[in-house]
Amino acid sequence: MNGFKAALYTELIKHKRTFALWILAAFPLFTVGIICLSVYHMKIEDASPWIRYAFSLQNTLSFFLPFFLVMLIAYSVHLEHKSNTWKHLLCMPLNRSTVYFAKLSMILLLVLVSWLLMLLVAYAGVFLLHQINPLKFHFLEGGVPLLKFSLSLLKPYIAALFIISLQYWLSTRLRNLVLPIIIGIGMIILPIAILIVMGMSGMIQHAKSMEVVFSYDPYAYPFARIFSFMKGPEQSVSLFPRLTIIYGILAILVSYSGSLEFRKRNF
Amino acid sequence: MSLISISHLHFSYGRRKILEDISLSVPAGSIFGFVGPNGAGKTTTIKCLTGLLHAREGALALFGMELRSKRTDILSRTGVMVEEPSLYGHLSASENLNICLRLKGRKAASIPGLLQTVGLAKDAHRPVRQFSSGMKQRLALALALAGEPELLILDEPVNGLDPAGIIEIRQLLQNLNREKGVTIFISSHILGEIEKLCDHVAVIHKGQILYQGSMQQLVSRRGGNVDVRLETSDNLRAAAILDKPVNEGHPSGFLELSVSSREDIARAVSLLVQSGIQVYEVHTESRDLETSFLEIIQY
Repeated sequence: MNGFKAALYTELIKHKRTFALWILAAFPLFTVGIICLSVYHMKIEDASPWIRYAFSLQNTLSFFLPFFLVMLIAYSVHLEHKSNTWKHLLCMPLNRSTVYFAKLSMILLLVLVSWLLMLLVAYAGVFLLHQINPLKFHFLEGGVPLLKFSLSLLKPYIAALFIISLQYWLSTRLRNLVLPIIIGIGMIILPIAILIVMGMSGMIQHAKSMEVVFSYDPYAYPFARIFSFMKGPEQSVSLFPRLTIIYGILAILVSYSGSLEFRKRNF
Repeated sequence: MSLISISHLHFSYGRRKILEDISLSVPAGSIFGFVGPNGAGKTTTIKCLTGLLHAREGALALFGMELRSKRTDILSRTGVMVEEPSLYGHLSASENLNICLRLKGRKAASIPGLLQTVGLAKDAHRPVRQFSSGMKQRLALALALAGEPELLILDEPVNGLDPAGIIEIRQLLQNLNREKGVTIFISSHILGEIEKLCDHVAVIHKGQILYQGSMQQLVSRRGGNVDVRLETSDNLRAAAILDKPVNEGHPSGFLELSVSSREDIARAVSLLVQSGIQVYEVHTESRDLETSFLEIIQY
């Protein structure tokens, strides 16, 4: 356990002044920035502008999250490839599994920080809109639905656990920075290509079919759930739907088998 | 007692055999030179020795412990430097050392001392990407020294260093060996450096160990012969007197002798002078590691 703590601590040191941290900071600013602009120009007819804001933010976040994760993980793991430090790291008195899981834990920590930053920036966005036009954006009247809003933004992150485990293993395998990013982005947009073909051949009749196509690609799954949201902003979606649980179990299996492969790998 | 023991080690990349039946024994307290031409298998052997590569055949033991089952125990007592320096360029020298010390379960208090040892105390807070290759090499050596290891495994440690740096590192390693009893396993293709530093040596060529033993044995294994070149007023007559051929390759010609002692040189010069031949130059070339190495690999 001491070895794991030390390895995790050193991961924190390694991430100082890296591009991964810039991506981490830029993602919520970019996402919330888009939402604030669109909500600002939107006609708010609902009784609660909160629902409209949360609905738009959750959809936009779900769409951009896989891209963000692919970039974040690629840059985070590439630190070792770029510095040629795998060899040195693996000559330290640590089990290889400890090295593998410490680095994965660091990425999960970054993802957790990303969610917290997203919440923080989202609330800042709400406050800003309210200050600009308190009559139109009466967010702060009647209290802030803190828990509900936080959980709604957590859902896409939970749905993305499988992406994290797969992309992490892939990034440790590939020395090149661009290759895991291309593969990751390819996997994200693959269902869109499939949809175009299916749409042209008339195989898709309604939104439900689109949701199915996106759901079975783990990289597109976080935004497959947008189709559920399309039924309306009031639609309640479970935090752990069945497919999310399945992808969660697969994430654990991929992480475990990834660590076994890492232990046997020649460096 | 052997601190490192390798027996019947084989390693291949796919079908390409890199190491064939390597057996090696490194005595505790020695400075062991591991020499061989490029691609001979030096780095592969070191990578097997540190667990970076998994050998399918053969046994590897360090400190009397099997590498496969006691890898972390072994590495906690070993400082390693493999190939080019492995450093985080965006971090400072002291941050790089901090990472290494933490992973070895040590406190950061020894950082200034380590940087002082390798002559980087003034550059402790500079990003490593601004370092010259010699400075990076020194820092990589400091990383290997972190945690006071009992065994140092160094792959080409003086690459990129200037002559003063090479002498400094040599003295540092000699002091560590003499004063703290650190065993040093060092691979290099700079034979002069190995000769000055090491007391034991192994020669690897095309994945096979062709020689291992003390440096003294290697240098004197052909009877400690000394090659002598003589330049005289009449090389042809001198050759006839000494019954030796004249080297035709040289513009003025010279005599080449192979003698077993300094007295033989004196006798030859005396004989020539007594025969009325003037001796202008006597140049001796002791059989060194380079000569022995080239003979062993049949260059």
